[in-house]
Amino acid sequence: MKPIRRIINTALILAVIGTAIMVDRRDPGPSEGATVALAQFAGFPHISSGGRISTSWFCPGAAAGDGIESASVVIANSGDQEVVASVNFLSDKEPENETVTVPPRSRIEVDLLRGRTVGVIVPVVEIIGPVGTVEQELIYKAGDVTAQCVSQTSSRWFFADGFTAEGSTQRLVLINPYPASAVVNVAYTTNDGRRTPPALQGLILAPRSARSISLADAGATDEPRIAIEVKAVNGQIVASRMQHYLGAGRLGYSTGLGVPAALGEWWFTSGRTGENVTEELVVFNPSDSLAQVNVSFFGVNITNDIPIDQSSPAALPSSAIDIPAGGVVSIKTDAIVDLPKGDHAMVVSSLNNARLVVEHVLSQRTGGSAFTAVTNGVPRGLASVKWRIPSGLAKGARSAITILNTTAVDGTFTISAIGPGGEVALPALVDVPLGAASLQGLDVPEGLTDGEVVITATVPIVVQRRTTRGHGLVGFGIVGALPVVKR
Amino acid sequence: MVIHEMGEWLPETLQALASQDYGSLQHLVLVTGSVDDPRQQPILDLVATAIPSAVVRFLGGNPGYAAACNSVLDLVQGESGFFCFLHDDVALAPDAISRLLEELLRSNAGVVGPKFVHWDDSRMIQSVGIAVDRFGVEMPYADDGEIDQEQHDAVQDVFVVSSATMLVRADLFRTVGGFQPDVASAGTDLDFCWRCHTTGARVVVVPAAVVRHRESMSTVTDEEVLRDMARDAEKTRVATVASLTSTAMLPIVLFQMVFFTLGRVLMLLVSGKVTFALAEFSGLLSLPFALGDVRTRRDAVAQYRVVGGSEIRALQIRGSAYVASYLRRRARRAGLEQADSSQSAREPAPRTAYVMWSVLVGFLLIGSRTLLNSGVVAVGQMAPIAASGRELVASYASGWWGVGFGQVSSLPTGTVLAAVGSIVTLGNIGLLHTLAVVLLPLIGWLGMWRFASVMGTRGARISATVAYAAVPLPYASIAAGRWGALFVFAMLPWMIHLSRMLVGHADIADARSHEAMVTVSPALWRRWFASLTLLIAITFAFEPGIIVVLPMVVVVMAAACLAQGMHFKWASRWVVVVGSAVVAALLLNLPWTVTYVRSGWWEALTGAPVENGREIGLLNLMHFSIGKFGLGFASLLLYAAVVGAVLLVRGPRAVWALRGASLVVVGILVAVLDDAALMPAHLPEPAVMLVVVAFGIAVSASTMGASLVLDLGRGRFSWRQPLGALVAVAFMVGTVPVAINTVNGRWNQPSLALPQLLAQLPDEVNEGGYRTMFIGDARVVPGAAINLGWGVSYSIVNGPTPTMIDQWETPPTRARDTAVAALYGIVRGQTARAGRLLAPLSVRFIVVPVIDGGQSTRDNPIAAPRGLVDALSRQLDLRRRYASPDLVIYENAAWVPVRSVLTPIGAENSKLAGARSMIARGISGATPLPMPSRPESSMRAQVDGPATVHLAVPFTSVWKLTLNGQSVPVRPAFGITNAYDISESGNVEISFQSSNAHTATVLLQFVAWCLVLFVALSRRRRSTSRTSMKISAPDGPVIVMSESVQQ
Repeated sequence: MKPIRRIINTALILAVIGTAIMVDRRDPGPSEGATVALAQFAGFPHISSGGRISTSWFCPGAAAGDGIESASVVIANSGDQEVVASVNFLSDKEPENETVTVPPRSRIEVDLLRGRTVGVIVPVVEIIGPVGTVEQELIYKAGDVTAQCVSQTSSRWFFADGFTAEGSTQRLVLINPYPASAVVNVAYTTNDGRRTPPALQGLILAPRSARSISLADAGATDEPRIAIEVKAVNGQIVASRMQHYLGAGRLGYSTGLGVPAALGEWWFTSGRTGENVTEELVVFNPSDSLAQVNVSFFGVNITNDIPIDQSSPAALPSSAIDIPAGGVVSIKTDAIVDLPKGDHAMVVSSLNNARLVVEHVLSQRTGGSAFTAVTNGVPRGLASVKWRIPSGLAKGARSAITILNTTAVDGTFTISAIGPGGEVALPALVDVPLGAASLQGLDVPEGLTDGEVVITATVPIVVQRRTTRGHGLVGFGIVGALPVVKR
Repeated sequence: MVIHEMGEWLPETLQALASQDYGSLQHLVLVTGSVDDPRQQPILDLVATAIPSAVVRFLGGNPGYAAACNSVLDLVQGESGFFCFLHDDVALAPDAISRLLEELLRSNAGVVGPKFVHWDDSRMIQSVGIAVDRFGVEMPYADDGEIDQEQHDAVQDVFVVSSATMLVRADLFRTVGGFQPDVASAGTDLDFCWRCHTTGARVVVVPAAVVRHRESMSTVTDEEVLRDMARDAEKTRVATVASLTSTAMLPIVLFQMVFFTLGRVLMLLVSGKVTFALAEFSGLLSLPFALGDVRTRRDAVAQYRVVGGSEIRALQIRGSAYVASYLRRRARRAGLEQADSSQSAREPAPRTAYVMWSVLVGFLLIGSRTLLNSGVVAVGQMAPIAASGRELVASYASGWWGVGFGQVSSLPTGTVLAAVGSIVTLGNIGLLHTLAVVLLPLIGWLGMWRFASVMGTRGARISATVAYAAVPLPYASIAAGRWGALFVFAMLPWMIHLSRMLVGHADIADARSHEAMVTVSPALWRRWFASLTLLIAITFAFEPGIIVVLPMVVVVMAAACLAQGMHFKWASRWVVVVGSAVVAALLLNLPWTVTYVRSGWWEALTGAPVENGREIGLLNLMHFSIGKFGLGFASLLLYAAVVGAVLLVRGPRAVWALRGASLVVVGILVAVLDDAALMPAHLPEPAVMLVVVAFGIAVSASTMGASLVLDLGRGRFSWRQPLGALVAVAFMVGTVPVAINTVNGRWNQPSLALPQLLAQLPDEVNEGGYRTMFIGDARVVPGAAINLGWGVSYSIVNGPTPTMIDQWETPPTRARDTAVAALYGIVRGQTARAGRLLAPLSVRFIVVPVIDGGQSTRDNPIAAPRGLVDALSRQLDLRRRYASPDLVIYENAAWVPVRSVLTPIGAENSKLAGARSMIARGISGATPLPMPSRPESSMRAQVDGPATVHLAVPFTSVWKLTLNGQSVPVRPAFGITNAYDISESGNVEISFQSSNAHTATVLLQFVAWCLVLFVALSRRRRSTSRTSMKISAPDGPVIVMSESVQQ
C-alpha cells in the first residue's frame, strides 16, 4: 500500500475516533415513560381534552338515612353519539353495577341510594369513550348539595376544614375502588394539635368497598377545627367528607372530596364579605416546617390605590401569615379592614414554597336562617381557558357563576350550553370582556335549560359557581366547575 | 495424451510431443468435453497444427484421467505395442520416449517412467519415482524442488511412477484392465503400479528421460481444497492397501495400519495438524463402508496375480514411510538452517498452536464449569427451550405460532433449527441449552483461527484467536443473557472468512509485496457461497440483527479496500457477494421472512429501541461492558494491538491492519451513535454491534502477531521494535481479565434471574391457561420486547415465564392491537380499565421487571420507565400481587382463561365489540378448560350447556370446535377472539386445522435447505461421478498398432 494511502486511511480512522468522542459527550434526557398518565393535578376535578378510551369518575358518595331525600349521579354527554356508562356502587357490601346509556347532547341522573336507608354508597362511574362528565347531587331537606367527582385516585388526601362543634357531625368516607385491599392511616389536627388515633391507623379497606368513619367516634368531638390527612400506605384510594353542620355559626350539609396534594397556591372565586357573613380561609400546613402565606383579593374596587402589577394579578395583598408546621390557621377575611364588602375572589399563596391545603368556608345568617358553604380551592395549574359544568346552571343561585381572569391580560369569555342542537353559545354571553385580574359574577342566564354549560375564555380563568340549596332555603352552596386540561 | 483444458502451456506440450525422435509414434489425443463445444475448437486447431497425424477423440465429458486412458483399450487394437500416457501439461525432452522405450526393453520392465523436473526451472527435480511402505504411504525418492545434480540419475526399480508420463506394455495394460477409474486421482498411480507388481512386471524409473511437468494442481493453495484432496487420498490409500495386499498378509497389515494410523492421528493432533489428522482418521473410518468395493477389486486382481505378497513386500520400504520422510526432512532442515545464516525470524512451532488451544479450551471449561454442572441460568435471551425436538417440529409444521396471543403464521426457522440441534444432544434439550451457550465462544475462536489463515502465518492465527478469546464480549454476553450477541460472535468470523475467499482475497504470502486477489473455480465458489448462505440463514434465524451487522462489516471492508487503492471491481464484490448471500439467506428463511414485510419491520429485526439511548458511554462500550465482567477496563489494553497494527505493520498485511482498525473505529462510532440515540434508526443492541469491534481487534492482533514475528524480527533496530514490544506486553496484560473471570465458574451469570422470581405465579394446569405481559424498559423485558413508545416496551408470553420460542417477535394482530390500546391507556392515562381490555386476551399478570440479573443488576439497575408503576397502580382491575426492587407483579382481576366457558355476562358481552363490550361489565369468573401441552394441540373436555366456549386467540376459523362430534360454528368474541355457542352439554373438542398450503411451503423450505446444505458440503464428487462414465468406441478402434511400433 502506498504511504499516502496509508496516511489517508489513518487520518480517516482518527477522524472517526474524534467523532465518537464528541458524540459521547451528549447527555440525552430521560424518557417520558408513563408520566403523562400521572398528570400533576389528575386527582383534582378536571377533564382531559385528549382522546380517552374510558374515564372513571370517583364521586364523594352519599350517606343514606342522614336526612337525605335522594341522591343521584349526573352523567352529561355533550357529544353527538350516545355514551355508555357503567355505574358501580361501592359500599361496605358487595359492589353493584348498573350500565346506562346517555343520549347525545343530554344528561341523565342515576339514583344512588337504590332503596337503601342506611350506610354510605359511593358511585364510581365508568364512561366509555372520550366524552362525558359526572357530578353528584344530594337532596337534603336542609339544603341540597352538589359535589364534584374526580377521575383519578391518590395515595394521599387532605381536608383543611372539619367541624364537629355543637353536635355537628363529620364523616370521613374512604373509598377503595381497586381489587386489592388498601391499608390506610388517618391523622387529624385540631386546635390541640395533631393526633393519630390508633383506631385510625392501619385501616384495611376491603377491595371495591367504601368505609365511613365518624370523626366524633374517633375522638374528635366538639371540635371547631379539624384538618385531616389520609395516607394509603398500600394502594390508592379516594377520600371524601360528609358534614352536617348543626351550630356554632354553621348550618347545613356539605359533601365533597378532599384534595390529593398540598400545593403552594389556591384560587377561590366565590368569596363574600358583608354583614352577617363569616368568611374563613382554613389553611392546613401538613408539612414539618413553618409556612408563610398571604392572601390576595380580586373584585370590584379592591385595588385600594394599589396598581395592578402586570407581572402579578394579585391586588390587595394581606400581610404574611404564619402557618405552623402541622397546624391549621383560619384566616378571617372580615378582619381585613380595607377589604370592600361584597363578592370577591381570592388567591392564597405560599411565600416560602411551602405546600398547603386551603378551604374556603362561608357562613351567612339571613333572616332567621343560616347556611354554610365549603369549597376546595382551585390549584393555579388548573386555571384553564375552558371549563364545563356537567349539571348546568339550572340550580344556580345569584351570582351563579364567578369567573376570574388569573392573568394580567384583558380577555373575553363565552358561555355556551349543550342542548338538542349541540353546543350553542348564549347570545348575551359571547365574548364578554374580562379585564386583567378581574372577577365577573353572573346570574343564571335567561332561557338556559338544564344542559351542561361550557365556559370558554381567551385567557386562563378560574370558575366557581353558587348553587341554590333548594326547598326555598336561603343561601347557596359553592362548588367548582371542571377545567378542561390539555394532556 | 489427455487434454482437459486449453492451457497456455498446451502449444508447448504438443510441440514437445511432435518433436520426439522416436519415429513410430502414433498419436491419440483424447479431449474432455464435446466436439460441439466451441471452447474446444482452439484445442483442435492446436493439435492439427502441431501433430497433423494425430487422431483426436472427444470424451463427451470429463470422465477423469484414469477412465480417459482406459479408453485406449477400445480405441487401440493390438497387444504387442506400448502405451505412453501423457498429461496435457508435460513437455517431453525430444528423446524422452525413445529413452523410456530403450530402458523398458533393456530392463524387461512392464512400466517405466521419466524424471520429472519443474516446468519453469528444469534444474529442480519434481519426481524420480516413489517408494511405498506396506500401508501405501508414499515416499518420493527425491524431494520436490531438489536441485538436480544428477544424484538421482541411476535407473532403478521403484514402486510407483507417475502416470503423468508413463510408458506401459500394452499387453500388461490390457491384462490388469488399465487404470482403476473408481479411485481418486491421487491414488491412481499407486493402484496401477501395485497391480502391475502383482503380475511380476517391473516398474522402473528412467532418469535419462526428462519431462518438464507443470502440474497445475500443485499450485492449489486453498486450504479447503488441499484438505479435501488429503481426505480423498487417504481414503484411496486405505482402500488400495486393503484391495491389493495379499490375503495372507492382509490381517496383519490391516491391524498394523489401524494401530499406526491412530498413533499418527494422535501425533498430528498434538502437533496442531488437525486437518491432516482428520483426513487420516476419516480414511480409516471409510474402510468399513468400502468393503464391497474392496472385495470387487480383490476378485479382479486375483485373476492375474502371479507374485506372492512377500515378493511385493520386498519391493516396499521397511518400516514407515512417514518416519523415513520425517528423518529425511529433519536432515534437510538441519542442512538448510546451517546454510542459512540470515537472521530471519521463525514461525511459532505447531505445538504453540496446540498449547494455545489447550489453554483456551481449558479456560472455557474452567470458566463454564458451574454452567456445565448446573445448566445455564435463564437470564435475558437465554430462556429455556421448554419443548422437545419433536414438539418443536410439530409446532413448526402446524402453522400456528402460539407465541403471544397466537396467530396463523409461519414459525421462525429457528424453532426447527433448535429441533435439529437437539439431535446432537440425543434429544436432551437441557444439554442443548447449555451447550448452545458454553460452546459458542469456542466456535467463534475456531472461526477466527480459520479467518486468520489469510495472514499466512501461524503466529497471526494464534494472535487473532487469542485476541478474539480475550475480548470480554462473549463472557459479558453470557452474564447478561445476550444470546443473540453470543451467536453472532460465534458466526461472524466464519462469515467473513467465507466472504473474503468468495471476494478473492488470497492468503498473504511474504513472497509478494502486496495483497493478491484470486478467483476460484466455479464449483468451489458455489460451495463457499452455499456455506456462507447457510451461515447467514442460520444466524438470521436466531438473531435477525445479523442483517444489520454483516452489511456494516461489508461496507467497511469495501470502503477500506477502495481507500487502499484496490480496484473497484474487488471492493464492489464485497457488496455484491455478501448481499447476494444475505438475499439467499432470507429466501432460505421463507416463509418466516415474510412476516417481516410489514410496518415495524425494522424494530422486529433490531429489537425494541431504548428511547433517548442506553447511555452506556464510550469507554464502557470500548471494554464491552454490556454485562458483568470483572476488571473489564483492563481489556482496553487489547486496543494496543489495533494501534500497533496501524503504526507498525508493513508489507502485504498492512491492508488487513487498516481494515481491522477500520472495523474497530467504525464499530465503536456506530455503537456510540446508537448509544446516544443519534442514529436515524436504532440498531441492534450494542452487544451485537460490538461483535464487529471484537472482530476488528482480532484482525488487528493477527496482523500485529505476524508483524512481530516476520517484519519486526527481521528489520533493523529502530523505534518500531520497542513499540512492538510495548504493544505485545499491553496486549498480554489485556488478556488477563478473561483468565481472572474464569474463577467465577459461571461467567458471572446471576444465580437468580427473573424466571425464578416468576415461579411464584400459579400453575396453568389448575387455574386455566393465561398470559403474562411484561412491560418496562426494553433491556429488561424478557422475550421479544416490542416498543410502545416513550421509553416503554412490552412482551407477552404464554404462562408465567418466557421460553426460547418467545424470543421472536410475532407480527401484529388485532388482538395485539387491542393489547397495545390497553397499554396506551395505562401509559398515557387514557383509561383506568386496561385490565378489562386485556381480559378477553387472557392477560392475567402484568409484570414490571426492574432487575433481570443480566443487563440490570442490583449494582447497576435499570429503572422502570418513569411513572409506570404508579400508572399501573391506578388501574382499577389490577391487583398488586408482588412488589420488590426486582420486579412488580400485578394480577388482572378481570382475566378469563385462554380456553374457558364464559359467565353469562361474559357470554352476553362477547357478542359485542369494541371497548364497550369489555369495559362496561367485568367478565371474570369464566370456567377454565384444560390446557394442552402445546398451544396448537387439541383439547377435549366435558362442558355443561348451553354455554359459550371462549378461545383467547385472534379471531380465526382454523380453530374448530366440535360438540359430541358435531362442528360448532365460530363467531368473533368481543370483536377480537373466538367464541363457540354450544346449545347442550357434551364432549367438546377444540382443535387446530393446519392448511395444506402451509405444509407444502414447509416441505419446499426443507428441500431448499437440503439443496443448499448439499452444495455446501459437497466434496468434489467428480471422481465418483466419472466412474459412472464409460468411454465407448462405437466405431471400433481408431489406431491399429503396427509391428514397427512394437520394436
